[in-house]
Amino acid sequence: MSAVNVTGLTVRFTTETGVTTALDHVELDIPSREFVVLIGPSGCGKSTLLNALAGLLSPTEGTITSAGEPVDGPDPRRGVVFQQDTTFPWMRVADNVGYGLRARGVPAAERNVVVEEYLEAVGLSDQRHAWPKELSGGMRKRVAIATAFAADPTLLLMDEPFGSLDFVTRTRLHDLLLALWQRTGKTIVFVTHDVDEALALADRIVVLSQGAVVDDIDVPFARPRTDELRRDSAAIDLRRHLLDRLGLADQRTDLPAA
Amino acid sequence: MNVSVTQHRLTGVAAIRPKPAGGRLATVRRLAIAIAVRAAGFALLVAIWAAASTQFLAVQLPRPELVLQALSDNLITAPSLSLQGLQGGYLSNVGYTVANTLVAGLVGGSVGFFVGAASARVQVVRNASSPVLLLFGTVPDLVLAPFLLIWIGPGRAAQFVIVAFFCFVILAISTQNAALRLPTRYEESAATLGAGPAHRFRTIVLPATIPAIIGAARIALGTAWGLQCAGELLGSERGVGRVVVLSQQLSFTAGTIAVILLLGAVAVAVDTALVLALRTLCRWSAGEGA
Repeated sequence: MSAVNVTGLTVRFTTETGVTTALDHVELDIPSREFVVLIGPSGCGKSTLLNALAGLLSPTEGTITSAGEPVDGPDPRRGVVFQQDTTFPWMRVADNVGYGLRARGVPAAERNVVVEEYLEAVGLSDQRHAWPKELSGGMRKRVAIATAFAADPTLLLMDEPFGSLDFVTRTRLHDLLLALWQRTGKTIVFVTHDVDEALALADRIVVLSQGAVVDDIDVPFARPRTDELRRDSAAIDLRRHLLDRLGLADQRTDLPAA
Repeated sequence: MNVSVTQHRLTGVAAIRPKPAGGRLATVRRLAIAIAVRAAGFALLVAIWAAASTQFLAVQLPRPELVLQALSDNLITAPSLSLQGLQGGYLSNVGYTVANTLVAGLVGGSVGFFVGAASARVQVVRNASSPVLLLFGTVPDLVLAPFLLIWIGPGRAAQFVIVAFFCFVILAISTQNAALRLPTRYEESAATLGAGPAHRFRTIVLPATIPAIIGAARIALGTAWGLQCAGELLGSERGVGRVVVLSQQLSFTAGTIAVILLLGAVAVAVDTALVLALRTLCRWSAGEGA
């Protein structure tokens, strides 16, 4: 069964300047356990599609089903890691990580086991009693990832979660995310505008442009993907192809030296 | 050495960072200096008062020691004022004023909080409450007093309504503003984690708005003491306002100042309690120490 099926999805917004079509008859099918990256330039509809998948946005036309059930609102089976910092500042780290479990009435003893497991997985066991204000941006993002995984969704939606982080922190979080994904077998839909991030993470890359799917590419490279991938001719070709799709064909596409 | 575990912003690698030397000692020293400065300020005020009182009659501006004497003589019972019909001494009358103010403030403030929070999230409630909040946020609450005197008389109920309504308006406006400023992403995130509306209200909206609520409560109470006394001045059997009226009739200015200072001391204590509550409940906030 598909983790997500999108049929004829159209989303229009009414603004002061008129009606804007953010998504235009999008068709998408995502099998379970797949790591799908949605890529596209700013304003192409990536985040709108993700919000619709999360149930935070109602389609103007079309249908979305997740695990065979229609998406008609937020549901803990579809977790979200937002682009902005959403760790709750008034809760300590451990309370943030256990929030979803507590909201669903999971007993404290059971909850604490899961919280400790994910705090350890993201390397924040020593910060369990810290306030978010005491953490760096990268650490808060790790709290958000632990919070999302601890709630045990079947589908995890991630909206440019690492966009504001520096290269080193982002690379570390890629490794962490892939490790958690492989351990838990969740389906992940990850939004980015970064071609290299897409190549590092994806099983499949879906390219969006002006509210429509313009390309859907399987990424054949074995994992773990190391810096050697930067010298792989197939990877270089795919990178050029993606840049071309993003309207950057005229830009310099040589890869930086590894 | 006093240390804290931190993490390097770029590498994410845990590291040990020493805290500034003598952290606790420095805190105690800062506190002691703050208390000393406040005491010095108070002493300066009393000194100016004592110096000024030498230029006036006792009925115009009594000396500080006369005020202390009045406080001591009338604290439990007020013999001279009892002849005018006053029950009890300064303490019980201040207690009456304090109890009325706090109960009315709590009731009005609580209703204001819920209306403010609801109006921030439900358009119908916002549309319905906005005219009232806008009107009474700008018009002084005391304009209600003449109407209340006509409708329900000058007793405790009228005082309660004046204070409660004022606190309602302040808390409703402050809570509404705080809830509107709260980024929707927090509630959206909570919803995707399985939190229903009631759970979101309790775990997101309420804690996020607590700093604004306590700040508004301090502002509201700061004025509520005066409103309660004003209500009592309009006609009351008990309370600080009643003591002030009777003392004025007897030209007992020292008594008037004494009872006002006693109420002021209680108001400062309540405000200090709110500040401590803010520091305890809002350790998470960037403005409060963890």
